[in-house]
Amino acid sequence: MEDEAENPRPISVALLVTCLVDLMRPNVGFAAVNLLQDAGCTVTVPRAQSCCGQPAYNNGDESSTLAIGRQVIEVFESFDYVVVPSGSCGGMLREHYPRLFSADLEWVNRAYALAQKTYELTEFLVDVIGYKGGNSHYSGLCTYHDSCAGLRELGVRAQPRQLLAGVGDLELIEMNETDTCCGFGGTFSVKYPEISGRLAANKVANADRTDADTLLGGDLGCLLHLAGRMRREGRSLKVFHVAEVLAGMASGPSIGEPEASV
Amino acid sequence: MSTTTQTVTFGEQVDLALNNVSLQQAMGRAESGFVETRRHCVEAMPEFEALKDTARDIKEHTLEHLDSYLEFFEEKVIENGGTVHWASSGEEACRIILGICQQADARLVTKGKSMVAEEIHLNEALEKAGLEVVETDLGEYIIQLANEMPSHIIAPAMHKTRSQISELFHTHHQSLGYVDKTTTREEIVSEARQVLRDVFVSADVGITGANFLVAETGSNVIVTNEGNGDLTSCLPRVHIITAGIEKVIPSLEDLSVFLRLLARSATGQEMAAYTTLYTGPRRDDDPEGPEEYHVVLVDNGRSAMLAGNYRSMLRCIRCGACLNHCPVYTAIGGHSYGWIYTGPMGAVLTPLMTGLDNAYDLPNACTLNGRCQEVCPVRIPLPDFLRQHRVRQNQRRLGSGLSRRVVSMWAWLARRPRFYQAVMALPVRLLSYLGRHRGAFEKLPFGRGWTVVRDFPAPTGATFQQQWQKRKRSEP
Amino acid sequence: MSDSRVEVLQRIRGALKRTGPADWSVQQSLQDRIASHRISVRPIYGEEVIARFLDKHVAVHGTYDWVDASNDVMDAVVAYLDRHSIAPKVVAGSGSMIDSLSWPNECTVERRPAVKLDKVAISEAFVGIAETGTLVLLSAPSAPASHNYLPDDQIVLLDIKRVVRYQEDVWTLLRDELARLPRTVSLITGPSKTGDVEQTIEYGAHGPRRLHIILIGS
Repeated sequence: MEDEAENPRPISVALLVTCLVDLMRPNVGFAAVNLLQDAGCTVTVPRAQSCCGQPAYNNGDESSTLAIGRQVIEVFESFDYVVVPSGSCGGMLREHYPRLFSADLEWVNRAYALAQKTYELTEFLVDVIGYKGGNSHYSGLCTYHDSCAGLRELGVRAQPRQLLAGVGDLELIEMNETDTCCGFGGTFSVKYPEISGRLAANKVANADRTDADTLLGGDLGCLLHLAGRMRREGRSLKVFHVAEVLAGMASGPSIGEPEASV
Repeated sequence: MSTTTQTVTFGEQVDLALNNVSLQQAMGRAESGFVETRRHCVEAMPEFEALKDTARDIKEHTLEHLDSYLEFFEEKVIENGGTVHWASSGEEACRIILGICQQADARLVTKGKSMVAEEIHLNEALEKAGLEVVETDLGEYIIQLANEMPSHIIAPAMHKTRSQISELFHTHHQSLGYVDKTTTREEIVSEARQVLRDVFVSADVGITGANFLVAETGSNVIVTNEGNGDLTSCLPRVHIITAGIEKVIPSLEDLSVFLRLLARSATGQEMAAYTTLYTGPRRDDDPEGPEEYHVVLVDNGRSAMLAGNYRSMLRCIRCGACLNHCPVYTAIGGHSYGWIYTGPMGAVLTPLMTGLDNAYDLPNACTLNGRCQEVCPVRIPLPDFLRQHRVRQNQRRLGSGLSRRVVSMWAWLARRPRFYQAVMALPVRLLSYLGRHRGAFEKLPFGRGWTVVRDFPAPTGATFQQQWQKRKRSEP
Repeated sequence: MSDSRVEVLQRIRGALKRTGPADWSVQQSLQDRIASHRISVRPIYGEEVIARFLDKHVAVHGTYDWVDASNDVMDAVVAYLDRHSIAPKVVAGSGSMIDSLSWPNECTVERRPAVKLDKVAISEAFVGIAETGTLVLLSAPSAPASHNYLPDDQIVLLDIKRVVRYQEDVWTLLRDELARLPRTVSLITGPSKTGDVEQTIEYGAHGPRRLHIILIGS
């Protein structure tokens, strides 16, 4: 591999799986691992991980968030890089941990150090590795949903699109209002379901209007919410995490689709 | 209109709003209107981001020296023949203003748009004392007739349809001799123009807000598209300006920074039709103009904000960009916020000014998507403030105890990853099994919060960690 | 009243971690900052000012005539009144250009504050700002501000030499040419409008329905 020729030792990456990928759709995790390995990294998946702490953070439970944060820092800080298949979890580590720990002299530097080596998956592949893609194919017209945290906290927008351009047979079309929130917002989705549902309806309508057959995104939270809404409305778009398509692992059921699907 | 128990009121309001077709249409129009026009303006100005940084810096500098700048401003106002009054509270401001009106034997008062005046319930105070108060901004006039709160700080009657406005005018203008009902927009605006003209010229007192107070010259600045601010300020004998203490800025050059940002951020215009600097009452040789010029500086909680963790909220120039770009606001409309300040800035201000327990839902009905902060011309960290509200609510045990306990439990588990993984493995497997035919659940026990508006995609087998560990074990 | 003044200032100072007013040297530096008239970031453009000014004015629904010399102004005024079927009863402000106009007999010209039945006012601009197509009109004993707001139509005379590039240029000129700010400094950009009905623009909300500039000079 190109990378191995340039780097004397492979880049060591720890994968922060995220709670949603771990519990709801492991395929995304495996796709991320495959992509990182294909890009020349050694991938470790630390066992002692569960959640980045966002649910506690966004519900105002600061002490719980700090406790989870300390654990995440301890587990992940020894690696060269921490890669996350999620803009919101990536943003949590990179943007919010340093601020959360700002009053804690013991932890603030460690939080900053971790923040500096934390990347969202597509961002890491493009900006750090310069990954040109594998030989995956996906036959379909896709539209891409930008998660708000990925977009605004990490600046992830061009990178997934660049990678998708390298996928054989895949055509990308942009929907209207790509930068409008889909309405997931973590626990917001269940605390304010009517508003959340309305925003989802707007987003899936925009996606459908493009005539795309597939909706892609980088955050499983958004995708579970949107796929659930698609199913409820009887719309036929398939929903995949971008990692699955990039890794050529999108031939199985899409999100919310049963095993033996139509 | 006072705020009631938000948890009940908010949900009902939201329900009404989501199902109100004409409101949704109006919000849709406004969204594409204000958002698109703002985007064009911003794209046409490469300096826009740098301008926002400058505006933020000017505001922060001014706040850091607020007492000095207010004193400079006051000095200049007095030099130009005006009077400055200081009010600690809203009630006090109302007393002062009523006193000025009574001193002037006023009967009829015209009002330009002033959020501060609404904040302190000024109209009620004056009307209770027997004065007639007429709003002159067309949107404010409409909601005054309808006896409603504004639903947007720039377009207060945005939620009203043309036929609703027609009806209102017909009901209220007949006694003034307007027998025929207006139908077209042009007719509506024309009738409002005629009706309000009579009011403008007969008013004894004109009360306006201030977009900015300029310390250098002792001027107040009003920005309108209609010209009503000017007619309110020029024609009556007495001109009263109600302004929050945070409205002062140092110089005319600083004013230009804010003028370039305000109209662009609010309505996507480079300049509003009328931007006027008023400096004092009429001069000796002026043939017209107010004899008295009063600036009422209102604290009403702002000095407390200055002292606390929400200081940057005082940078706000009331442009409404955050409202226009908030997907939640656009879905639920202004009335859902229960007070005069709506959208993201309202979600921050209302709990600060009326109590955290009084407005529980506002900081929580937000996805923290951050678009508000992105468009704020003075870079207020709105999502951070909303989260800060949530922290304080959590500390004070406000809102759903169940929600707090669930989150607490989740966090307790999450801190024990091996145990967490063991605990989560079973329900994941179970749901994966139960959902294998359909791929998603229409209903789930304890899952109504999710399933009421969307299906719940089924988990897809053992957890990632289980599969990963298994894979590792089987590797050589 | 003065108690509240003390209270408010005390609270502000407390918030700023002070017990009393700022040091004299600090206050002086703040005054120096004001007096420096320091210009911050602003949008730079290279377009020629007159072209820019007129483009921007037209873009906000304004109209104009461009005449070479002050002799031609009257014709342009009369033509405008004819065009819009406005009776030639004008309320006029003052300025070197307006004062030198010789009105035809059929025109009635009154020099007084406007009243609500006035159909048309004629005013003279202090300057025009090319950046945004904005007119700057100052209140004066013989130029009442009501001329800008009450009549249905306003005609504004603008000397081509008085078109400045940026908004800050206005502040500089005001400071240079006047001893103190007049009671009102009106920055007017296009005619009055409102979007309050169905979020669609209608003109002539409270101020003039039409704003016409007569640009003088070459």
